[in-house]
Amino acid sequence: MDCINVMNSTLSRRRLLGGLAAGGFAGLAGCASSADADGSFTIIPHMDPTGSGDSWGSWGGMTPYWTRVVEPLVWGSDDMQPEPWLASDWTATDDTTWVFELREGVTFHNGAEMTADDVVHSFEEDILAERGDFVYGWLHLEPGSVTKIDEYTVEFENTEPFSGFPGTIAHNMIDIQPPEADRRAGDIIGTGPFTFEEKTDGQQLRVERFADYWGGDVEPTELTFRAAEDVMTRTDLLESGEADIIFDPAKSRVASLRDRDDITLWSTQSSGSNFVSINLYREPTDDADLRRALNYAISQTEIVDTVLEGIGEPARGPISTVIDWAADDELPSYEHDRDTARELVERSSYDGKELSCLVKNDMDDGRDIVQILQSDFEKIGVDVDVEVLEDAAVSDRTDRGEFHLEVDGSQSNSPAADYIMWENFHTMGISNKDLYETEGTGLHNLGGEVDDLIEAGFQSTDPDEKREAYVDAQRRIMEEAVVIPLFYQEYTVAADANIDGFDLHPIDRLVEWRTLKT
Amino acid sequence: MYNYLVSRLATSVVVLFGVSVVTYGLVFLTPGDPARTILTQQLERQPSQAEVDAFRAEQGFDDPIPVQYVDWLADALRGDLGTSYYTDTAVTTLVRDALPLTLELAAASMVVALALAIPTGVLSAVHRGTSVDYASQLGALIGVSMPNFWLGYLLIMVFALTLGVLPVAGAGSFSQLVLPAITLGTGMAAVVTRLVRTSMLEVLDEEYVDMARSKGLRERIVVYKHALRNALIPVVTIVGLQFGSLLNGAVVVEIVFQRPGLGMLLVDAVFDRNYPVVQGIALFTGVVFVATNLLVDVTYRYLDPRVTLGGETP
Amino acid sequence: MNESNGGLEAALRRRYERLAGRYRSTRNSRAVAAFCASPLNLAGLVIVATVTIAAVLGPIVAPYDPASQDLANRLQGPSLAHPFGTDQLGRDVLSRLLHGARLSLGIAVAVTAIRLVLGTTIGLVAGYAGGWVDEFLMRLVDVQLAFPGLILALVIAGILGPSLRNVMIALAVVGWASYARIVRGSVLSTKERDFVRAAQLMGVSRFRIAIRHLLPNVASPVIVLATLNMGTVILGTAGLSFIGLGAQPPTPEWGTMLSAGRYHLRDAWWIANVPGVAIMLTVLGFNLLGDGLRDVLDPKHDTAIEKTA
Repeated sequence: MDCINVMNSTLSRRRLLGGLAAGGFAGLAGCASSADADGSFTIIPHMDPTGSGDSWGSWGGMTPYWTRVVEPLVWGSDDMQPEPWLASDWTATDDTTWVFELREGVTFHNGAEMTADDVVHSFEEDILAERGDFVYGWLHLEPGSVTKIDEYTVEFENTEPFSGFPGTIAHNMIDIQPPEADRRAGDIIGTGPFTFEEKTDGQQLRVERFADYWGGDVEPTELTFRAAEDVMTRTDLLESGEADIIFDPAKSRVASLRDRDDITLWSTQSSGSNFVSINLYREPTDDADLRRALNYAISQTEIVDTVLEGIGEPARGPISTVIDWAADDELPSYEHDRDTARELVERSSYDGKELSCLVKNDMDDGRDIVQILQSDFEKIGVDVDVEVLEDAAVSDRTDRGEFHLEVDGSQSNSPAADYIMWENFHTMGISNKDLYETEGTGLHNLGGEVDDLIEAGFQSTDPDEKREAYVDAQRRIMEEAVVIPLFYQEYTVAADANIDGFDLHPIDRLVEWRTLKT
Repeated sequence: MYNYLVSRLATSVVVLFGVSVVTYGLVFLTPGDPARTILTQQLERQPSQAEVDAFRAEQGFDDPIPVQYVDWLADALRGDLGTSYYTDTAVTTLVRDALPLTLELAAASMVVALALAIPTGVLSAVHRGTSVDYASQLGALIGVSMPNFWLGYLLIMVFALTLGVLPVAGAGSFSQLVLPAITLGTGMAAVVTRLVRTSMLEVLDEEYVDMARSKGLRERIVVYKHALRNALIPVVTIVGLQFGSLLNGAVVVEIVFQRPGLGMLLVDAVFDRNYPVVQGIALFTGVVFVATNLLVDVTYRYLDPRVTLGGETP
Repeated sequence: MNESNGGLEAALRRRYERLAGRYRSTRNSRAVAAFCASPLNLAGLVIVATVTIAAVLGPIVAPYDPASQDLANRLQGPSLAHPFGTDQLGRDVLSRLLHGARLSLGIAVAVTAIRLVLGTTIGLVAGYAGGWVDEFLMRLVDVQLAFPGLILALVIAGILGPSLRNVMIALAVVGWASYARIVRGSVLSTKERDFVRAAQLMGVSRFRIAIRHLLPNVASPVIVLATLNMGTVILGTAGLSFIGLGAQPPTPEWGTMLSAGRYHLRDAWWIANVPGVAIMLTVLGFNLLGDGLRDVLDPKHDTAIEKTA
């Protein structure tokens, strides 16, 4: 769910980022808090902010998401466009070269001013050096490709044409820190509105207001991020008053939270969407008729209206409509239609054997959603064996192609969402590449022209051209029923009703907190 | 005594050897190739066959399993249980950091168990065969018959959400220890109640209690002062032995109350296939168990040479 | 074979039959009377009988298909149509409970049976054979007992992957040692009894002695342990299900139902609390029955109940 992407099965979050949130549980410490007039707030994201058990080593064990201690060069706007941040401007000087102008007068938490040297250091010594090979493919940068032009100008050399570069580095993880920061020792020196103070692994993390923030006033004096990855515990902590703000309360509690005067609920559509990935290279799901039948078998609206309590939008494609090249209504529609579905099953090569369907055990509501799907498929005569498994086991199975269906999703944590198309549906995407290289197959990749379209969209600098290519790719993906779209995600934030000034953002990890007050 | 000590010690060493074999062998139950699994996690992507081969050679995975085992054991004997696949943190560090929370929970649960069980057991014994006896026994058994996690969530609902007197979850403060300790302690209480009851019944039958009675002391004082003191000696000893079984319950209770202790560390490691951590915790608990048993046996033997407990059944 | 020898043999046989017979029958009649004296014992018996009947008849009498969803009628409270309400997918909780009874009790019986057979065999062999065989087997027992049960089961089930089959394997593997120890102890003491001595003198084969004389006499403690174990296994299964290693959906295993219902503990209490109460009563029944049996059959072994979920 990180980096760019929740991604499908094989691109497990852990593997992509050295393991961010584990499917795990964490605890929290401290006692009841309340949103006092003193400007301190207790916040619970859906991921352990102390990253206990995971490799947030580059940030001293603190997650760069939500905490707002460190910042990237580029930010994302409310309509998912790259927005100047530590960099004030950028231009592409040729197909693969970008020149970034840095904002002047940005002060680090240690009082020093940010200059080009810090940017080069952050990329070369940390981002490209320490965070694993995946960074090269993600950013299309290699070591030695970031150079200082002058005090406030830095040049980046992409390995291939990559129009989405500014939007891609608009990500919490692509942060700028000075050489003095001993990241691994927990000495985090950022430019953000809050300074890192202390943390207890698996429990909580505290940040304080940074008076010299370059971006202006910071309302809250102190933020405490508590760990509670279990959705029910998180909700209980809000209801008992031990937390002020929580992300994604339990769906089962949403209706009663809405009825309460002392709690406010905000929702907004996020950059994520959920869908069932279908293995195209295993019998009988290699048959497009069967895949179309599965698409006709289900009702997205029913899922959203029941187990999701209305949080989410029924989906027609795999790309969230907040992303500007999402095809949604331009895609073929598979209206809920059991008769058509049954006819397609008859016509297909489906032989009555059970299909295997995987779902990760830490997916919110995954257990219920998969059972609704199972029941819908059964009604058109397709038996499905459901396996709710931990992350590592799901990856293991999908890497080997030993599954038919996987309930999954993907989300972009930066404004450039190209990665979703590439990693899921291109033959060289993370999940497909290995199988393609060893067996010439893949999982959810149609190959051929779809690969060409994705490449065209990926490289195009013209928004209309990019959109055209990606929409065409999505259309083919849906015509061949490579996925069963479920819903475009909405995320919910529940808070003490006294709290004001929460800035909703389609990427929940880009919430700023700066205007938070009681 | 000396001979006993030597033979008991020898037995423990043999058992520890067995424990280490089991611990090490567990990983080989995993479906698929452990080398590939480990490498996938370390590289954070699918390794190529060449990388897998190189890794196997480097890590000694191609060595016969007994050789691998000996290497692992040699490290373990030096106090090196390896490092977590994800964080490069030494397993010993992880265990050391998580242990206090679990010990704290176990100790507090024991207190809760004794606090519930001693009065209940005494009441039960004193009123043997009456409805009070049956009610006490039934009450104690209901505690042990509820799934811990269910009891925990019910307690959270009542005390944290409805009454708002205790925190929902977390660790670190005394108030955060109360509900987990009650959850875990009630399970233990049934066993202890039964022990107290049996022990009290035995003591009450003994002559000196009759003597105390005949001296005209009030019944109550007899029961509490003389009988209870004598009845509790075996109870406390056996309760000490039950400490280990508290670890079982601690796993579930730590998850319910989101306490990052040993149980939670283990569950995360199992799900993450973080084998060094899994092996480390399994070995650690095994060693602690064997050592505790040894200590208890030897102490008992020392105090009362007629008694044998634990490892040896006559 | 001369006259006097035949007489001696007959006398020995008579003596041994008498001893063995008296030993069993007197114990049995006394036991039944003692068992019935406590209302708790009878309550345990009634609960266990009820759950057993539910497990046998449950799937036949269940009003609905346990997997059949009705999303329009989800989270409905108890009513005439659905006495225990419906769950988050609109399935009838009563039907799931009844189907689950067979499953949950079946798991407990299967796991306990494996533990019992495995442990009893090992205990018999160790006790009867003695020597290095005994030494080796008892060290195996020590090794198994050196791990806290649920922790080892968790690791095994976790590594094998989540499924009911793996839960059963894991729970069976971690629970046999207590049987072995008790059986061995019983064998060692029974071995010295008159009727066994008599049988040995008569030249009855070792195997026959083990089956005919030693086994029946270790039955009491083993039955007690097995009864108490039923409760432990039900709780253990529930605990592993809660951790996420149990039954796969839509299997109506009680522990899985309880875990899934926790999200609705406050808005639809019946989803979690119905299977919760079912588990509690069942385990309570086995504990009461086991304690009762122990008091009358086997007062000297105070086997502690191990709570694992």
